[in-house]
Amino acid sequence: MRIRDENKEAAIRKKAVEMIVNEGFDGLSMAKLAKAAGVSPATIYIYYKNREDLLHQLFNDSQKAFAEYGLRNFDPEATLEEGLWRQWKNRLEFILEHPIYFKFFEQFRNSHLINHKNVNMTEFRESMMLFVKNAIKRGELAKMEPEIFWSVAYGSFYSLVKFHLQEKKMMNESFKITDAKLKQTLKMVVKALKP
Amino acid sequence: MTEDLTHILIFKTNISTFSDKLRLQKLFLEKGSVDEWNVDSEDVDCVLRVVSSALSAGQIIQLLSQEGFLCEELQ
Repeated sequence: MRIRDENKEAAIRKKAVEMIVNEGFDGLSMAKLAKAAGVSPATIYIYYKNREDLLHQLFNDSQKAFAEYGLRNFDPEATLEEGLWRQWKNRLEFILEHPIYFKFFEQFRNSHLINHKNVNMTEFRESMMLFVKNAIKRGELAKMEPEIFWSVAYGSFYSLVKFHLQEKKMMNESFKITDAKLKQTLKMVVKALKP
Repeated sequence: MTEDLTHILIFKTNISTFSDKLRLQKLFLEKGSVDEWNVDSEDVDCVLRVVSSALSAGQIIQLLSQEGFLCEELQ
């Protein structure tokens, strides 16, 4: 009887994500992955049908992890400021605890390799939509296109994250995110989103 | 993933072309008892993955060999 080895599977996934982040999608092959993860090629094929199947599962996993963090202590009934703060903190926690998944995610987000329809993000999406609708109803948030909302509500946050991770540089070579800096930014964002 | 891992068999083959795959499809359809299969054409070993609760690795190797395919268990 073959038993599913969670540790082995986790090791394979971790290695695969690392390979993709460091070498791009083309850098990943089933044979190379087996070698890097220290398992036999047959083992890889037991879990994944082929490279495409592996990529899909990795993307689904990282989405799921992201959604789990995002929903932690998040109340869609919260005020715009409280709710956004929780989102920023949750997302930052996810990124800092799984920086490699964050990079992987960024790399994948716009990739044609992924059939986004397979990805189940319903609960997370519904929660975010409800939060936005409530904020509009209460008069804290102007009506706008989702892209504009995202850019204002999260664009600045992700920009700061990239400075923090040293992916982007400006004057300050060692910019670090703190709660105070995030709060300062949030105040301006909330003000900008008002009707 | 819903498959039972116990029933997954992995082989190294020489199934590389589309017509090879069609022949294999016919073979499996005739034989029955194969729940699912695919060949990874990107891999040098043309890895064949079979999900079957009825057939053993030996039986699949025999089936493919009779058809003139190269087939051995991938380690």
